[in-house]
Amino acid sequence: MRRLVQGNEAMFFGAVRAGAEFFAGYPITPSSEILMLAAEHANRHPKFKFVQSEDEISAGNAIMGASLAGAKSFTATSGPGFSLMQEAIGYGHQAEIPTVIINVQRVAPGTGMPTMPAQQDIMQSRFGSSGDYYPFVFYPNSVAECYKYTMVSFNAAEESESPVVLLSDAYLGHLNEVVDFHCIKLPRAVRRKRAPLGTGQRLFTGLVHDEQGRPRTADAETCKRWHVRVSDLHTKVSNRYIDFEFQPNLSSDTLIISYGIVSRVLQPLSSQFALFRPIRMFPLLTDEIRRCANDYRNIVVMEANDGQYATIIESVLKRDVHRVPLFGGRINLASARAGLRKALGRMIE
Amino acid sequence: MFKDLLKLERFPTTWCPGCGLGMIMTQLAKVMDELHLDHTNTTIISGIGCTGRIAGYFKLDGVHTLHGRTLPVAEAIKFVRPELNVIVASGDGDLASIGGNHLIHVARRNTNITVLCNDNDVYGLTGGQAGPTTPVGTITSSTPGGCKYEPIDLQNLIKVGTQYHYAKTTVYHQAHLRKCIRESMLWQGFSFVNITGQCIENNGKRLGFKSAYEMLVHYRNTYKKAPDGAETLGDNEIGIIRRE
Amino acid sequence: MKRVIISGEGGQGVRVISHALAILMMNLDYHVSLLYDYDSSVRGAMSLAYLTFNDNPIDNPVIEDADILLKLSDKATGFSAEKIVCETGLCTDEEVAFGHLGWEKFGNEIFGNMIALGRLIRLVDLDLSDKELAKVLPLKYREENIKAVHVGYDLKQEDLDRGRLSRRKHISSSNEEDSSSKNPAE
Repeated sequence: MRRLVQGNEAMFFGAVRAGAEFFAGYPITPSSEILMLAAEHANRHPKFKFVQSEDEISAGNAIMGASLAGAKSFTATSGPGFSLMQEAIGYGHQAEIPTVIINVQRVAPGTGMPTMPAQQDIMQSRFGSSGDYYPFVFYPNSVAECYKYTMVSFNAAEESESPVVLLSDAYLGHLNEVVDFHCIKLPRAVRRKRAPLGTGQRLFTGLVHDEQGRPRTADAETCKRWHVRVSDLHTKVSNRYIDFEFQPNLSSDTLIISYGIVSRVLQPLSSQFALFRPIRMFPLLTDEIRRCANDYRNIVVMEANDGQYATIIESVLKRDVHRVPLFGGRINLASARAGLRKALGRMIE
Repeated sequence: MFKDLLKLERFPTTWCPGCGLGMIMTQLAKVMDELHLDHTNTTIISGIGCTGRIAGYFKLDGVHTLHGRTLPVAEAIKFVRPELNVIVASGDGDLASIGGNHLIHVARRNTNITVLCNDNDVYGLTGGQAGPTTPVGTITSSTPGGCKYEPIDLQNLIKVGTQYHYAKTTVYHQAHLRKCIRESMLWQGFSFVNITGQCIENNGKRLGFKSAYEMLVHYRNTYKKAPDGAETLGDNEIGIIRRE
Repeated sequence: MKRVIISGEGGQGVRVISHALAILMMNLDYHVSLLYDYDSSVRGAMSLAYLTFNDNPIDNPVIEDADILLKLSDKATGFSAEKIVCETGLCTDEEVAFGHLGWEKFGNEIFGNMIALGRLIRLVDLDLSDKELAKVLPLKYREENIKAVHVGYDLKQEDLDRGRLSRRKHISSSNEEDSSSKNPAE
């Protein structure tokens, strides 16, 4: 059945479809709709547990506990709340806990512009917590994709046994499109491998630990083995999640890389430029980005931040890219054209 | 046999000789044995600090959380698996300072978990800094001139809801400690056991105690049982207060 | 493809109007995108809806050049429109005293937003169906709301001119301008 659905709603329904049974969160614009939907859903479905936490620190930790207890869990927040959850995210990587954190980004830093769209948490989604860890981060660009990639995020979390970040933004979260959930092709939900708490005699800890869960706080070999095992696992899993969209245009000498809501706004320019859109932001689609960028003399990275992904693309391609930052929540074609004009030194249709 | 609940193969424990934590661990294991609690029906959550290591010594599924976050984790586990007995064991700093906000709200939500607080007045593992329960005037490694502030009033903090279960005891009073743990575990709702225990290496010695034994004698001489039916525990009184 | 912008303040009904129109278009099997853009305040600050409907899937949901702009307040800038319908005093194209009409005919200014919806429905060449309207309007005051939509739908040229004439009375002749085919909204 066709329905007019908002991005935030679609993410919530995607989570339910993936089998999520626990939500903990704190109200924060522009993600609060997800919290309110979770509360309503819990009222009507006793198996789905909802708690409005006293702060985001609590929420970030609660979803870890719920996941260990056996429930697929998730939370939804925005930049400032995401910052508060970083310690918990690092903990989830160390203790190998599958869970999903939705970040509906807004203009930052600080309290910023609570209702305005931005993509300023790209670096934070990759490096926000302390330590070396290898997160999966996805960023859809339509309501249908919000639904699908929530399922994908839960699957990647189960397979990698780690917290997955699902990015969105104030525009995408509040974009209503007509979708029929039954017509959206979804991957099958991945089931939980590990037995829930109350069966074994295991210790789950944030300390560096060996395969039996014993803390090993002075053993470099154990620590190295953990890194190798976890990064190998994440690499192996990432081969099943090669998510991107490429629109080549050999009549153009320029490839524009963009993602999320910015990539929607740029669509009308597909006749003039080649367009590459990562949906899996991390781990980097290194091979795909290199292969697609090969045929183009100019690479432009257009994003609603000050070149966070551009910096990373440069290190992948080992060549300079043109940066077109879109600031202040003004994400529209006029700003895009103006930015391209400045970067490429020529008029854009 | 209560020893069957402990991972004896990991002994000696990481704790200092004379630490109060070994006594808390033993009494908890004894009560669990009495109540037939084991890895099929119970889980233990501990925080950061010396007390945090306690989860690793029990033959239970345990979670060693981030500093201050035992309560959100334990509460979520209880929500998802209400049939599991959820025990939290953590220190005064972990529960009442960095975890203070969670303590207020989980107590307010009256989630059915039992919290054992090892109150040794300091942050032991990091060298004996003052904590939220350090008595005013105490010299610690972060208050060389004496602690300036009054300690937090845990009893009144727990009484935030209409229903509560608060117990105060010490590691010296072993039978009373067991009673507090037992009644808290049987209580349907949020229950908090405030256990005074000694940290000889990073607190006691600085205060002039020559041994853990001297500190235990000090607890024996200082703490008195509250009268039966008391609704509030006075300073240096051990007992249980509850309201349904 | 038709692009409609509804621009107002928090509390004026931007969401109710745009959502109702979006569902009406969806029920006619169009592809629809409706994007909300608003400021951080419950009342009184900028609230925008970008509504696009098309036979084919919609790529860019952000509208800068609209076919129709409904302007209920002047809190927002940054777009232009072929045709502007506005509350009195806010433009030179088509001024309608929505609030006043709402108060006059239904006893409350807020019914003006339903009258505006009616006018929009006429401007996008939709047929008015009470059955369809009942599906998309909120339950509270539904009867009155449907009537108010009809009022907007049936607005005659003289109602539309009345707004413009009343505004012209207040400006000196040297400032008068004819409406041109493209009106910058700001």
